[in-house]
Amino acid sequence: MATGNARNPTERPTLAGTLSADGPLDAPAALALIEAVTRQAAACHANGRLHLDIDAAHIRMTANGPALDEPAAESVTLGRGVSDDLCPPELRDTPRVKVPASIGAARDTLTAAGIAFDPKRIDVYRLGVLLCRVLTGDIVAAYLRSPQTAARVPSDVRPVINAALGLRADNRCATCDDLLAAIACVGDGTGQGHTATDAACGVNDVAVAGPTSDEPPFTHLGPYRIDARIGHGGMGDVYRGFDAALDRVVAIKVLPDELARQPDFVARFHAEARAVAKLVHPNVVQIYAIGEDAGRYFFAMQYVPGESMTQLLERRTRLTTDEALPLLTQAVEGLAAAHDQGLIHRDIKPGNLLVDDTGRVLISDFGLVKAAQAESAITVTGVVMGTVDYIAPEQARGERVDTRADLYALGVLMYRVLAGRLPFNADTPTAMIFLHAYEAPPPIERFVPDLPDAWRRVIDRLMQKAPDDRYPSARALLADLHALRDGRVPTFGRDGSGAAHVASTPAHGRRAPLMIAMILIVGLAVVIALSLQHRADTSDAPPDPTAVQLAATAPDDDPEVVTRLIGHAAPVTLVDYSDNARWAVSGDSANTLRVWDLSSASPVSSRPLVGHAGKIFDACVSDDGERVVSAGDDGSIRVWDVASGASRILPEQATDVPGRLALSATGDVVAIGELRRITARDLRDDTTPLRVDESVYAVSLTGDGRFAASGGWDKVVHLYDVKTGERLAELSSLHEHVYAISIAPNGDTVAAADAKGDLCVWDVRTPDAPTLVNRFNLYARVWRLRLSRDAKRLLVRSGERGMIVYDVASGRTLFNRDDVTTLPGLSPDGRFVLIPDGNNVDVVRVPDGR
Amino acid sequence: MPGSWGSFVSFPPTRHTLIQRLVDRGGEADWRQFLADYWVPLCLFAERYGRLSAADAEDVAAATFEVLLRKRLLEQWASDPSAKLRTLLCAVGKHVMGTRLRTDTRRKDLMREHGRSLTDRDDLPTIKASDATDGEVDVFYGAWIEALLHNAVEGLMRSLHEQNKGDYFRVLYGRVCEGLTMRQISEALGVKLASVENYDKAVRRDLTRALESQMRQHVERYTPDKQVADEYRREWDRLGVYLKAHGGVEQVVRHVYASASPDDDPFVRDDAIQQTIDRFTDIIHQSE
Repeated sequence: MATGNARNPTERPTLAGTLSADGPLDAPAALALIEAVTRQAAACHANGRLHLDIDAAHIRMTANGPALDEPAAESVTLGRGVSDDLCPPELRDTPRVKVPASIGAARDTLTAAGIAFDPKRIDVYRLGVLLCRVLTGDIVAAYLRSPQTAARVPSDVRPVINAALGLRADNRCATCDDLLAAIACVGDGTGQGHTATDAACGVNDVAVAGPTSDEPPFTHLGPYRIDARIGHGGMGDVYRGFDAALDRVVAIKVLPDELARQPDFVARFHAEARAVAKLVHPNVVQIYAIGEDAGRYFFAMQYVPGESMTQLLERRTRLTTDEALPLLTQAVEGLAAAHDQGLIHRDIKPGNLLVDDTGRVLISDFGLVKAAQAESAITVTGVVMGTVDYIAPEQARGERVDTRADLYALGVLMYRVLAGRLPFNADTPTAMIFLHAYEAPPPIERFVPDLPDAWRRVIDRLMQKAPDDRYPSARALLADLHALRDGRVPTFGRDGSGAAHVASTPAHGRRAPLMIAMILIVGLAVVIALSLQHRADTSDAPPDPTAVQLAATAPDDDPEVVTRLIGHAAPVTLVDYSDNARWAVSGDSANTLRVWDLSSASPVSSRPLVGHAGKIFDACVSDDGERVVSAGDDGSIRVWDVASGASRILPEQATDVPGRLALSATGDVVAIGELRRITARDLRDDTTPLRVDESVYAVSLTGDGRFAASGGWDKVVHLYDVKTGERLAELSSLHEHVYAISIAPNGDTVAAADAKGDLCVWDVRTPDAPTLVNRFNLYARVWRLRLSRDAKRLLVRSGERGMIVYDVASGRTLFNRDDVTTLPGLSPDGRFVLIPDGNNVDVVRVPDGR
Repeated sequence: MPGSWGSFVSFPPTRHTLIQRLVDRGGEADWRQFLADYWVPLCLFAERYGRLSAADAEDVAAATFEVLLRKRLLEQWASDPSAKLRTLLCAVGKHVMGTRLRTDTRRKDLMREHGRSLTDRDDLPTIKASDATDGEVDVFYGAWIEALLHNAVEGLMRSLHEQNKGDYFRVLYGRVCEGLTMRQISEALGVKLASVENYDKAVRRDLTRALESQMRQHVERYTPDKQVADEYRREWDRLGVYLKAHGGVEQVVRHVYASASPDDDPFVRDDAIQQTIDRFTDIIHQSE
């Protein structure tokens, strides 16, 4: 593909010839070769030139090592259809472009073609291809597909190839220096790696956040070699590592970045971990060491080969009493030892009970929950910490907890193990919290009719709502478990009256009004706690200690959900934020609208807004939450007074797709696209300062209603001054009809997508000289675009690819939900999305993409 | 305008199908999409039905699209789409092959003398979709499904590597295309056997989703909004029947990849497509 001058032949053998004769290189030789060639390519770049011909045929094997031929190619053609071994993935779906060898000229060429791409990546990519070739003797496609080919690459070298190839947008070597750093992280490629220079291993560090995978994002932490990721949870990822000094496998838990950035948390974490490290018991996972490496806090602990009780219960659903007793007894022995030292677990659940290959049970994660909990925030944290399926009533009520909270959780766990189901089922974490706080569980004998009465009474006793009514200690429970094992009659704790307490639980029914009131109060407290958290998170303040804890309140099936808006009686089809993120408006398939106060996660009014006779396909709410405009396929555009629920119909005609209605944050100006006309109507005096006849498929407004954007058949995005009706600019980078537009609330940035899913983002601070910031192609019909206020994030809801939140500058996907078929909203700070989910709307956190 | 909408919302059909856009002199992007959808099926059809070499099959594919353009067959088809579009393509491809065989020896002379392609010949008979026999249509359908499946698998591979889950794909490929056992894959990748089994479970589900997505996108491109749901169901059902008759989806994937070496993939024909589009651009400009 490269074009240029022919080179003079040379006597020296090429690398291609060597590979052909001798076969692939071993890893140390391959890494040394690539390192040498990368340095030569870096020197070429330093001279302002791309090499463009880095491959085995252009490397001479000399006595002094590999020598990359002098660059000769004048240009290279890359883009759609060019071989995978030549073209980086970033360019494979772009139109073909002839990239000149001069780095400056290459940049200009790519920018002119609307392609945001560092041309140095071309050479870095070729180096990745070359590394693949010298190790496997095969092409990149074979490495990507075949386990047999991949097997020829040592596991610690694969991340280098992957980063050089740029398979992942968030972990790409952009420059030769990046690649050299990645190679340095590997060491000699024998799997032993370096131990001292890992702070420089920036390339691999990028990938801590992300889906669970066996491929770890770094190769070493402190003195430990990292071999594989083996778990993932709210408290961080867990890796299997190796302690070479002591020749033992270890498990390493790395704290989430959100927590590691908080000095208070780190101090608490150290204090708790030190306390827990003193606990040595055969039924508790031993903590070996605490450490920090390149800002990453971790602790090394005993590696337990086996499975968690969660996995065991996935296989078996439920256990007999004979099977359960030894497992539970061991867990209680571990718990008793911890309680003896004053340690409370706070998150006893099947996932934290590990069963090794010999059947030994070990409790994991002691101290972590406590460490994550600020003493001053006990009410909030008491509510949200721990899995709510096992949450003790006093935790649910936000009260201070003691060791008996662990006993309640153990009671729930025993119920789960023996009955094959949890005592409570609820659709939301909030509902589950209420159930644990106030409702009696269904009698376990309903599900296990042959359960011995003594077992039932032990569980009943453990699950008492009041801590004083439970076993006084894990030791007392242990004594009863031993009694069950030995066929003796348990004492059920100090007074042996546990059964009587449970038997009296129907008396709760007599306190129903009081209980309901309490549920409402506590429920409100929880919701407010959550929404306060949400509000706090939507500010620009750094995340606070409760940020991660909130994840614990998420529905089990979706850990990203912060809270849920519940109130629609039909499936929600669209939702959007107000510009100040205080309100949201949603519409459902029964043609009703609801406005939400996000500070309380509740509907503004118990009555929905009803009036449209057909499907609603657009709705916007003002910053004061008092005005909504909506468009329906009954053809009407309505302006609603939220307080009264009254609406009036505007004279403009609603068309049949979303994206043609916008409301200013002030609630004064509404922009309407009518296929062949854009109108901006000032609702204060019902005038239409802007009325232009042109094809309009999409409109958007700035928050102050001063500027409008429209796009349509002519493939151009038009910017208007609403006040004067003047056309300010035409943005013409798109090649097809414009189907979706979003102006950032401050009016500085505009995003638009065309019929082919080509998507452009412009900086329009200088309207007469707009700048193309970035360009993506989704190859899908875009239904909604929403830019964050700072224009750093962009929500795209497309026909084929669901909902994606992009980092605008890099084009990275921060969040992708391909199951979203409705119209979601993006918070103005870009950190949350509103996603319709059945009759509800989920407030979901956008991962920060680190 | 727009394509499909989700399960909750449906809007009136205002979207133009790809064929409608092509008939209205669609842009380069439309032609590229159309060729991307049918180039490989036509090549495979020509190779199998006409027993042609890969290079000759590409000539047939290029000529077929040119006949569609010059003879305004898409326009005719759009006004009366009583047969499947692929049946029309099959019929045109068959005619091109038949004509080619009759004139093969004269082809180069013809081109040299007149500077015109084979398809400019005025004596090319009127072509109707009904000219294709059921057997021919079945061959074409099989080629189309293979292309669809190939796209789904390749898209899945890219997506999984983007998510740092490349080993998921390798498990699929190793098991299906290389005939490796789970244990062999586990050893090759250095991943626990249990993880390999989990990857396998997940990637099989992902493959089905990818195939569904490919099929849905294809149907949405060529079908008016109101008919998308029904048409998709029909195509999905027919695909199920086809796959069942050919040993299941994995057997077909195996067949697809067995016919290609990674460095000479018959499913990657972007260069030829680009050349054809360039030629179309010339034709369209000449006619304007």
